[in-house]
Parts: sequence; structure tokens; C-alpha cells
Amino acid sequence: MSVIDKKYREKCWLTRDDYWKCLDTNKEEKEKCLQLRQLFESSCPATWVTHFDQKREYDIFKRQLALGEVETDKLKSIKGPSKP
Amino acid sequence: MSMISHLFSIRATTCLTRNILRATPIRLLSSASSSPNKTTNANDHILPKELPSSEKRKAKFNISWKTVSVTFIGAASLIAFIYYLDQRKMQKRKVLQRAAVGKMAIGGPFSLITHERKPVTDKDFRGQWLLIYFGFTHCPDICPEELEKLSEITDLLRRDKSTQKNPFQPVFVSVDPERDTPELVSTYIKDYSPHFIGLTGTREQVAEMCKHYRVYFSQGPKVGDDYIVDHAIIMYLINPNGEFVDYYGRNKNAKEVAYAIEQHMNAFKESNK
Repeated sequence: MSVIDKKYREKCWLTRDDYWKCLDTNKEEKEKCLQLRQLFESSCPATWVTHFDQKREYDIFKRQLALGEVETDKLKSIKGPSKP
Repeated sequence: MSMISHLFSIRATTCLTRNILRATPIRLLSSASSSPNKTTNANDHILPKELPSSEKRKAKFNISWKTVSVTFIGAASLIAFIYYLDQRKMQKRKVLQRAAVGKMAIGGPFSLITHERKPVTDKDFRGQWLLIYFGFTHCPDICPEELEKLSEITDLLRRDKSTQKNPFQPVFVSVDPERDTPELVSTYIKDYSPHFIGLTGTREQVAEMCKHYRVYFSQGPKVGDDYIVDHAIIMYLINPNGEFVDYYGRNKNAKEVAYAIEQHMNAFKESNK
């Protein structure tokens, strides 16, 4: 079974969602969700795992930005050097 | 602003009408009132120049209020109708404006093979409305989402039998020609809709089409043999003349895209009667 198969894709997404739900309830503490993480990693190709990890980081950052929870240092490093 | 000037002109007409009518009832009622008074009033033979003030007031209310309300209702329905026509014109103009802007820069010839290994060019699609989505089969989440959307759009547009003269054809073009063989594309698109046509080809053929459509695509870092292709996430609408007409990003849902396409189809039908 590979990513071309719809059932494979759906199983991968399901394990990803379960893992993410665990992280939601455990305030991003990865140690508490190790089993689900393993299941997720075995159900999806490595490139997809990396992709979804990056997506999660980005989504959390976006949410924090919207809520104004991001520290100014972090913002500065993302904005880059200030333009004249 | 034109609406406000319309309103003002109609109010002016109403005022004018009211004033004109205030002058007339005096003459009309005086001829009616003279007959019952004939036998009793001594000064009867002289037509009174003015009605007694109470009669005058009654005359004003009896006729001018009715006429004013009729004029008002007429004016209100006229305004509503003008507003409706105005809105429709604005909508049509908006859709055509977008079409005009896009026509200049995007689109062009392409030469690829379908998921059934049939060689095709852009000319083979003349007479059809194309909605083209660029993606690849090893896509983690975005392409499946967009292809579900494309499938929904297809169902919505194929419901209307009147579009049959220029049928709607959804197209998937692979930006991963190294991996996406016609067979792979065929298996992939069948999961989304039986109506999809999948296109793939050599790297040069795909690059050529992407150049014309300004589609960015780039192979990401390899993990073993696997990689993800970074690419623009846009659907392109091509009319039956092969001209680019509009584009839709991730921010629009299936219903919104289908509606926008319907507007283009109607505009096309109008201009090609």
C-alpha cells in the first residue's frame, strides 16, 4: 500500500489527528504521546511526517500570533532586519 | 450615488404632484357642493370663489393623500426595480472585469498525455470549459483537499443540463512528471471523480505548460527516494475559446467557485449568441 491508495492516505491522516489530539490535551508534551507518535510515524511516509510536523508548528504559531501571545523577540527574528 | 439622485428626483415629482393636486380639488368639489345647496342657500347662484375653510381642509385630505400614497408606492417600486437592475449590472461588470484583466498574461498552448495514455494538446479542449488544478499524486494533504473541492464543483456544474453545449471539464495536471506516470495518475484521480482528466508528460512538457500558466513548482528535499513538490495551489478557468478567464485559490469553497464559474458561463453565452 502506498500514498496512491486512498485507504492508506486516510489511515495516515487518522493517526496524525489522534496524535495531534493527544498533544492538544497534553499541552504539546511529546513525552505523553509517544505511542501515538510511533503509530503516526509507521502509518505515514517520512516526508509526510516532517510536513505535518512543520504544519503543526506553523498552525500553533499562527494561533499564538492571533491571540497576541508571541514574545516580541520571536516576532523580530521572523520579521528580519527592519527596513528604512 | 446615482441611487440618491434617483430618490431626489422622485421626491421632487411627488412634491410637485401634491402641490398641483391641492389646487384642483377646490374646483371639483365646488361644482358638487353647489347642487345640494341650491334649494336652501340664498346666495347660491353666485359660485363661491373659495370653499369655507373646513371644506377646504377636507378637500385637501380627501384627494391629495390618496394620490400621494399611490405616487409613493409607484415611486418605491420603481426605485426597487432600478436598484435590482443596478445590482445585476454591477455583478456582471465585476465578473467581466476580472476576466479582462487575466486574459492578457496567463495561459497558452500545452502538449501532454492523458491518464489513458492519449496524447492531447490545448486545441483538443476547445469548446469546453476547463478548470485546471496543478498537483502531484504523492501530495500529503493539500492536493487531496483541493481535488475533493474540484469534485464537488464538478458535481454542482454538471447538475445544470443547460451547460451541455460547452461542457465543464475538470483537469488535473501533474507537476511531478518523474513519478507520476499515466497509470499512477489514473489510479489517483479515480478516487475523486470519474469525470477528471489527468495529464502528465515529460519534464519539458510540464515545465512548458507551467511557464505559460505561471505555475511555480519545485522538488523539495529528498528523504530516500521520496520528496514533496512545493507548488502554487490555484485552479485555472479556461473558456471554450481556450482563453484564460479566472483563477481560484484555497480561500474559496466549492459553492463559491461553482457560482463564479456559472457567472462566466452565462456571460460567455450572452456574448456568443
